[in-house]
Amino acid sequence: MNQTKTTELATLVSSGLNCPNLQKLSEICGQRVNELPILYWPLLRIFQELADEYDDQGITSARYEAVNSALQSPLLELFNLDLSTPSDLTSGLNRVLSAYIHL
Amino acid sequence: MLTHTEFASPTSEQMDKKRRKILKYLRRESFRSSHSETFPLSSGIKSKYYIDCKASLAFPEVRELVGDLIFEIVQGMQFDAVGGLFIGAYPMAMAVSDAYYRRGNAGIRAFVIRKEAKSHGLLKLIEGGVREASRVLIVDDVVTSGSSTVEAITKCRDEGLEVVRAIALVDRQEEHGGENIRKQAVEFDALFTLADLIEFNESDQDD
Repeated sequence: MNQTKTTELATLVSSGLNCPNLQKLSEICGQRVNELPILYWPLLRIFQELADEYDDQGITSARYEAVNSALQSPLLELFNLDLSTPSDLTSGLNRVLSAYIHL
Repeated sequence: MLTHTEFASPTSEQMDKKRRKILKYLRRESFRSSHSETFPLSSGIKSKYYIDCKASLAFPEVRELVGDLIFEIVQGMQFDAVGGLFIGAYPMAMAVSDAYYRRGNAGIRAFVIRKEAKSHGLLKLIEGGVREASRVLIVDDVVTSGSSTVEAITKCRDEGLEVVRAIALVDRQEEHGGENIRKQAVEFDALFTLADLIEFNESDQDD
């Protein structure tokens, strides 16, 4: 997998998982879901669900901090991996999914 | 600038009492404030205030009072169904539908609009059996930018429904929500504004 493909995602994640960034991340994953469903489908669902929490309004600062604290690191690790290697892809994605499940 | 709610129709003492009861719940169950801008909003900016109306709408008394107040505002207006975008609008829609039922009109359906149509099964976007060309009232719990309400209006129109009016429980008045909704050529009111919640003094309660 071309590393530059995930650079845009990594930049957005680094700048914070706020609602506008979550919406952009969902949009990008949605556009790429047919390229690599095993990666982009779960990410799309995660970003959409987190964006939906705002419900055209807001979330508590504690929730915002919890989301960033739990997900930024495993997401950035995932985007730094060579995702064309199946074992790297599955282990990186597993870390993201585990963090999300426990959030 | 934050302002208080104003209604064209005269506000009776009974309506005032109902409004105060709802405000009491909203302040206790739904409203949080901070000295600095700490609550992230959907636009990306941060606010001193956080409102979660679902926590108040969880109480049957609130739903009944909200239904009564909206009934007072829209009575005389002809519509067949009331609903809005999942999830915040659903208890509001139920409240209005039930208020009509209590007054002998069992025909006002409550509906909810999915964010996305179901990808399997019947692929329905709107749940509630609303018939094409129905006249609908759109409701929402909190309006900030108005995007949920605007999305509800757009989706209803796409499904061939006629939107007669939009009403929210609280208008935060922070991100031109009301203005954005009115740009859709839909009359919009909110039962309360953020200013109402901020300045509500529970000690003023008469009950």
